[in-house]
Amino acid sequence: MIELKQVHKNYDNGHVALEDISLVIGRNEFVYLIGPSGAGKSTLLKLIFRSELPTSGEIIIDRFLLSRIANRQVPYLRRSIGMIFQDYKLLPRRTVYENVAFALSVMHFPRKKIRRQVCHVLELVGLEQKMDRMPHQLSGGEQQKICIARAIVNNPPILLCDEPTGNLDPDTSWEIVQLLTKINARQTTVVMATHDTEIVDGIPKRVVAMEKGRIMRDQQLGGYIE
Amino acid sequence: MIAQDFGFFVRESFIGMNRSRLMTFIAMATIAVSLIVFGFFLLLTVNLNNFTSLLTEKLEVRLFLKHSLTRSEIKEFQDRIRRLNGIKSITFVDRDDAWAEFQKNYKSMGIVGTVGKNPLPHSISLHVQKEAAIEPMVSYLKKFDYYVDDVVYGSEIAKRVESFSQFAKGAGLVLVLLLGSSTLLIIVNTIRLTVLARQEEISIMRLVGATNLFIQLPFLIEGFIIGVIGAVVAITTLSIGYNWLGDTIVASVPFMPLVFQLKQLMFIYCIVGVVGTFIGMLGAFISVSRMLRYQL
Ligand SMILES: Nc1ncnc2c1ncn2[C@@H]1O[C@H](COP(=O)(O)OP(=O)(O)OP(=O)(O)O)[C@@H](O)[C@H]1O
Ligand SMILES: [Mg+2]
Repeated sequence: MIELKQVHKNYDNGHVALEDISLVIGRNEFVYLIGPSGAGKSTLLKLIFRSELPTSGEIIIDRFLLSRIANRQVPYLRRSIGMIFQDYKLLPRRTVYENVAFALSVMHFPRKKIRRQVCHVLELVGLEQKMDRMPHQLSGGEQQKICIARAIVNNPPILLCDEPTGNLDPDTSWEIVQLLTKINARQTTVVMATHDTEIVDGIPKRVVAMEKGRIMRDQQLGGYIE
Repeated sequence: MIAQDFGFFVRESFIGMNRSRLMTFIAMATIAVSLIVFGFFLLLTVNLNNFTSLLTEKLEVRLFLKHSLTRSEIKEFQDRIRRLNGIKSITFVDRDDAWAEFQKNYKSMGIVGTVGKNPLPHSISLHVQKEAAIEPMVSYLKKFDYYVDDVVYGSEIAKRVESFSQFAKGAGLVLVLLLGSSTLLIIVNTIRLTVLARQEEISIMRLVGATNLFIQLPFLIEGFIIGVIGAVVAITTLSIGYNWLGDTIVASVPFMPLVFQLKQLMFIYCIVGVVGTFIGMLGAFISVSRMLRYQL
């Protein structure tokens, strides 16, 4: 599903963010990506999402060979990857409903189908009562749930989450991760970058630990600390 | 598929225009003003062309004949001219008729009394088919010096009208090109502003998998709408203005040959509309293709 082969990433300023990363993530896996700040977790997710390009190495997503695809194919790659951003990236002047529906409009879904799927996914994240609100009228956890709803509304095979519980209290964090495991159970590969020890220890899954741009540990059902 | 998105795009472009209202208004006003100038010159050109061709039609060449000619010689000469190419009509003017006409016209000036006897010769009035043919025709006719004493024609007026209309067309073209390019610039900048105002949205659209075309279409529609509204304003102003100006001119100079044929005017207004819409869309296209090249 996701495969990285000897991937290096140097940023333009010369900073080495990733060094010799090789990693295979299979279909329907749930993977925690952990490590201290600056370890390169976000960079890794961005490379998979192709919002950054690797300096060397090859990345294969589903049927896409990322070094080979043309710029105009990138939208189609992104339609098979849902991405949840730490800073939400919601449209501030649109309602909850519109924010989620937007992702489907972009993919030319017919209006009826958009309505059906948006309502379904808002129900899944428990926001069907608030679909006419603006994002700023919602709490951080609720905004994060809209992001999740938007990321999965078209049932992509891959879901990338960059610290989805970063700014949330423990209860809400649990709720979010429960939601992600539920999504994982619906045939979706989930990769989640996180600092949250309680969650990693509480819901054991495969753990990929990074440090200074390298993978230090890759363990099935591992905990936050070895 | 695209058809059902159309409402979405139009709504998006109205949101964009609403956000940079002032700039959008300025763009519409500029395009309207430029189109009015453009339309004005088109109307002027049509009228000048019409005027010159009418003038040519009216242009008379007058052959004053030698006093010594007999009636039959005149008849024979008339027949020879009639067979020439490029002649529309010829009429014989008897010297007595001409004299009577002259006396009637200039009675008040008191010349008639001093001249006494009729000094005018017989003459032939003729019209050519094409204005351009006038000069060669005249020099050709002058060669019949057995018959012809002098040839007089209104070449000067025709030449002046012609050269004025050439000048007006040239100046109009230059002015229209200048206005057209500055209008284009303003539209490019207007759309650029709406693009800038929506950078965040655009980047989010990219993140959820929007294609470039999808991102660009609302801006192209925006340019289209600006062009169409500018054109509608210009056409309305032009048609009201032209009718008013035309009525005023005809009221004071009744024989002024202004063009009022609906078909011709419609054609001009259509050109104005098409050009306006085209400039609007071209401006948007330039702006969008410069600003929305694919970014990660
Ligand atoms: N656009 C950029 N240009 C230059 N350097 C960058 C850029 N983005 C990230 N970096 C650097 O690359 C390194 C890895 O950054 P990255 O965001 O991947 O870390 P992270 O593991 O996600 O950290 P955190 O847990 O704080 O989010 C950092 O040292 C950062 O300073
Ligand atoms: Mg990060």
